[in-house]
Amino acid sequence: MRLLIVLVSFITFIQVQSQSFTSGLMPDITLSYKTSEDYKIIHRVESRFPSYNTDAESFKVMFERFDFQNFVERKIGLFSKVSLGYQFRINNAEANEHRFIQQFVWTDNFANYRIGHRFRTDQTYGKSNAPEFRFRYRAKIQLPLQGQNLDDREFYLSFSDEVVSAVQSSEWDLENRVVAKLGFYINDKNKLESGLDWRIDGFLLNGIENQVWFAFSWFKAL
Amino acid sequence: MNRFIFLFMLSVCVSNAQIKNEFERKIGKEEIPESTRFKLENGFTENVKIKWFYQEDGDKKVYEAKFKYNANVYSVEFDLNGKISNVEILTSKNNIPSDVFNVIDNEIHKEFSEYRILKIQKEFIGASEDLFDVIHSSTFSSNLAIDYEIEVNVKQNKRRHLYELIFDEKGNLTSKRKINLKSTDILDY
Repeated sequence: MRLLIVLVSFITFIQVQSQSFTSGLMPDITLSYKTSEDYKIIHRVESRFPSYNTDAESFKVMFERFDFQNFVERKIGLFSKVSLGYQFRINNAEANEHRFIQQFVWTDNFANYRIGHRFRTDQTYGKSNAPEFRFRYRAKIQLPLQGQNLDDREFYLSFSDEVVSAVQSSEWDLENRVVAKLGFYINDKNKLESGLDWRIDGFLLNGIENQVWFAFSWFKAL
Repeated sequence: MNRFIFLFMLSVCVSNAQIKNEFERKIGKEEIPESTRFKLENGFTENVKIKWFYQEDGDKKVYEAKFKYNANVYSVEFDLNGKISNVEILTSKNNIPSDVFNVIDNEIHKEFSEYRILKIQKEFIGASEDLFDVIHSSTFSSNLAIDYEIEVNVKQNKRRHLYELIFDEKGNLTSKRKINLKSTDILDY
């Protein structure tokens, strides 16, 4: 009950502060498999179902978009990898989009937690909008809840912050994404996560836009 | 044919033995025998916060107490009956005698082309009283056996791996196990 009150207060606060507010559901599934000792293929499907926004001022679950992502990942160190990816986005209201993604990740391991760092650049092309180029950095901390190391059948908390800098038609914008999730590490091949994904953009443009997504994730490895 | 099957089974057993797959779970102090907790806590001269864990490593099942005391970081292992079995103290390369470290360095280079040390623990094995003396009064009986447990990031056949290597007091390699890395897809995507 207390958690619900905090959640409602938090969303109300964001809604009052921002000029535009959207909330909804954001499920995703990530499937990965090794093709060799160093290479891995990753497929990811993510979708968004906005259910409330300040313009419509009504609750209605709608389909907004589907993202199909495919990555080729190469291990370059014990805790570091590079990936090249392509995303096809099916939009409900606009033309479909193509996105090319490049990323470099590494993990810092500490006695009680891990931090994953991710540098990502992407380029998006579609008929409805001018090409968009983004530069992103995300730090994600993972805290096991039942011991020092993350083991099978163990719950964990994860918090991440990502700064996204974007340029489109010579206009720059800045976005920040804060994600808090509760995860369950079933085993190395199955993990579940659920939590809140809070995004603020429009820092450098006219009007701050807030989005809060209830996210559900399943990570499956073959 | 039987000889072939025997050799195959042996090779499977050996390769399994070389992988470190540890499992640990935080537990409450009430799960530890009271007499064990008393022996450990009674010797401290200050308040020490102890974290207790249940740990499985292959067939080995133990309780482990982790704490900081007198500027040292300790991991103390007890069997499931509460009897102390070893004491590990986090240390660094500089605290290993240079002649011993030279032997260790040679031993690692025999196995791997490159290596980087991530963690070193000095392990004491011996009688209960001697082990408690190590913790409570930093007294090291000559009867104690000493090991160095070293976690290394190594290069082997152009690839990076994580290994746990154990060396005896003179620096001779006594155990080599590859550590299974936890999946990072949840941190990467």
